[in-house]
Amino acid sequence: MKKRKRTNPEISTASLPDIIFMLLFFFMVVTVLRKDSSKLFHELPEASYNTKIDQSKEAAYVFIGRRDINKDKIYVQINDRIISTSNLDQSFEKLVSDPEIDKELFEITLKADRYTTMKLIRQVKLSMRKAGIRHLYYLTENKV
Amino acid sequence: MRKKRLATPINAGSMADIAFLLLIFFLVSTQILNDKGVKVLLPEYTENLPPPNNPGKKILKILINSNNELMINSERSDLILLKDQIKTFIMNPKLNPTFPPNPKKGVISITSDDETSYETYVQVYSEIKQAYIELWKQEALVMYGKGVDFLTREEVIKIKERIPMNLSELEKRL
Repeated sequence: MKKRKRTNPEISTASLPDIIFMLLFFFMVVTVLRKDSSKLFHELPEASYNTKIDQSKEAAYVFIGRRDINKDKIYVQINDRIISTSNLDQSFEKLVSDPEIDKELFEITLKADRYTTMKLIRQVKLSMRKAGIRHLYYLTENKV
Repeated sequence: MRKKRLATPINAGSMADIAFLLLIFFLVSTQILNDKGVKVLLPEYTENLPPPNNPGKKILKILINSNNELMINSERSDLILLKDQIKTFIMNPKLNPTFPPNPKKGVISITSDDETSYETYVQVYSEIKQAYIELWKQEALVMYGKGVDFLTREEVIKIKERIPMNLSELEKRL
């Protein structure tokens, strides 16, 4: 008895690579580059009481840390650019200069090194206030 | 009629592997937002210095020096004691005359040295905030008999009006 089992798939598999490429392009479009990558080294301070932060609205990230882990010089980075301390006022002004942004709702997340001096923090906060920004988050780690 | 085989039988078994590889790539590269921290509302900016203190207001002075040591009302103190001291100050259960007569007249002032480390400042700030949060939770039970999660927006505003978080941050050690 000649048993002939039809194992040939009826579905053509030639289009499967196309599907994979479409998936890939979909993810490439949907994945947006995040603003919160820091070029500076920083160790977040520890605090006993902190809440989970969700940044859904208009927001910017400010990083304060060292560029070179061996050197002591501290830099300030706003979103993706490193700013010198004399340009702080203008940088924050520029952040909220877009008329579509509502200054009242603008939030800034501060990721600063735990050993940053208060002198610099005060300068940064003053520049933020001058630009009309009021909401600020100090990012922390849980205190063990 | 002989059936013409149009489709070359590509082994579709490896397609599943490709799909899994892509999935694993995106799982690894996407970071779940794990940020936690302290939310702050900055005071409005005014050109002039803030007005001198109203005579009715009582101030709890917190000083942090360059060695990150704490002083509360000219007494050497520690971070652990801060929260309870603030709560006693603001609510003034024993009607101490040097403490505010009602929570609206209480002001917490933080003075930090230029060399004070940011971490100490944030710890002090988070203790202060937690003190107020606990006071608000208590007030919610007293005023409305509800837990904080069940409050309406207006009720939250009312509670914060009763016990406002009055903070004053000063530049240098005077």
